[in-house]
Amino acid sequence: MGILDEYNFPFCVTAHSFNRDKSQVAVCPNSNEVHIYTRSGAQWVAAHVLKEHDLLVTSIDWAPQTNRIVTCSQDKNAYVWTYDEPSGTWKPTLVHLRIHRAATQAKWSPLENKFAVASGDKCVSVCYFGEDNDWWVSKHLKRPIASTVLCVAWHPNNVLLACGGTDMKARVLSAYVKGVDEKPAPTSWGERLPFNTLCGEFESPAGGWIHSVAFSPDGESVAFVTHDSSLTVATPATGSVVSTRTQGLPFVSLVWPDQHTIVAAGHDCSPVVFTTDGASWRMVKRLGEDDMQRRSATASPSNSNSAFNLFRQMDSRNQPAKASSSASDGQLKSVHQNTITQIHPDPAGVPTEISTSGLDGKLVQWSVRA
Amino acid sequence: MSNTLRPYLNAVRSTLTAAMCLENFASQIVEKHNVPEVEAGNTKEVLLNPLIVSRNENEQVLIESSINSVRVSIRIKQADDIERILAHKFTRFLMMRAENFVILRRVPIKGYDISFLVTNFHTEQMFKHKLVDFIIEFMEEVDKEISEMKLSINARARIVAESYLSQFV
Repeated sequence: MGILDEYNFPFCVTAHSFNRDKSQVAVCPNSNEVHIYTRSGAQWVAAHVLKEHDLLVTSIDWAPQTNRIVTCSQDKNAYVWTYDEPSGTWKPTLVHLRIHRAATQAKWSPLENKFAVASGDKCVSVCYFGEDNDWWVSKHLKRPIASTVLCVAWHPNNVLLACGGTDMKARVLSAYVKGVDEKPAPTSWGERLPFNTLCGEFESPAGGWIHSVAFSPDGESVAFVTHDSSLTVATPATGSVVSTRTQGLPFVSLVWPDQHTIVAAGHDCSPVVFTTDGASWRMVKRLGEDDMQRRSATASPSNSNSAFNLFRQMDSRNQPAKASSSASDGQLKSVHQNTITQIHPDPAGVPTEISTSGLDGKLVQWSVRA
Repeated sequence: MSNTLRPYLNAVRSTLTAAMCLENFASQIVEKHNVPEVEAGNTKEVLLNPLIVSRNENEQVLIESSINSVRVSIRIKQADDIERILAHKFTRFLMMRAENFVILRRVPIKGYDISFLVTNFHTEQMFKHKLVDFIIEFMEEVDKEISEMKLSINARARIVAESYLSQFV
């Protein structure tokens, strides 16, 4: 349990994605570029810079099997990058998204023949490769969506898509594309699933923007985190919608690595593990707590001196100790020092490993063993 | 610190910490624009309910938050005319130099003396807990500053009056 690897970039990491064997990582340094780093020992060395977007890159997804990267940006565009072996460069292909507002998140489907791009245009573009015109084309999921879509997630059957956004509702829609997908087997979400079928609509009890959604590994449930700091899990087979409220700040991102574990992270700066007893979900632990104790134990003695000075100063000025969550040297007690922007499951599918990136520039790989 | 100031500042601190959960959000009204939604106010669903934390009718903090920005407006205590003048001069001095204070707004919200605008770009550049500390420290300091100035004005007036009247003795 704990940290497997930690690296500090000198910039905010707003999005990241690993390749299959985690020897390379694509990160967005909060700008219009995507940097690809290669591992060399304990270090990450810059290898490529993908420069094609005009505005902030909002999302990166690296397809583990087909080794393609999809990036999307606030300039309304998405590109699919393929690695050109002879020249050793990444080649972009523009995607015909047909949206007129910022793209917010892009995700490859499990079979990697389609991807979904959420956008501020109140729609989700489901993109697939149009063989006849040699071009990534898209179909829009539009109908019940009333505001910016912030997040998307694919069902393991490659057809259903969950999305959520600032209209405070998480929805499960069908993204079945004729000619690309085979007819899906009937699930608890529905039997006939033509494109844009609404299979479920959920919200958390207190409302709030939906920051992230995820399907369970067996595809029977959908989980989402909202701005009211809660985690909600909906299962259509039993009709249950279970919500777990937490004490901390809202979560921004979540993953569902195995059937009984959900990991969520966000403004609280530390990933939180939830487990289920079959009926409800319960917060079990915060990742990185034991690690921080180790760090403070090995901290240099000059630290205690500065704490001493601080308390003396407070005493002389007759002030109470600050009620903030920061320790005496202004460091938070968590591993990340600022909001966690993204949490990713292991690209090779190992259920106990996740990675997080934050605005403090840290890229951390964790092991989540219960 | 007096007994009522501490819970007041604690309430402001926890409200600010909760309100400052910001993320990058491009406008869904105008393409390729990215504006503080709390200032634009034309996308209702990304605005949160504004909140007032109040110590008494003269000391209040208004916190208006949205998905990518939060506006904090402070009403500073003004007990008499001298304090009113001092508070006005002091906030005017700061707001004329607003770009040096990064999160300071040039014009306060109506009914308040000074306003801050924190956007997601600020929380990306700076630690959030330090930003909260900065605003709380400002609130602590501004009262102290104004009462100190008031005392020194009174002391000065006393000296002036004494030296003026001494020629008639």
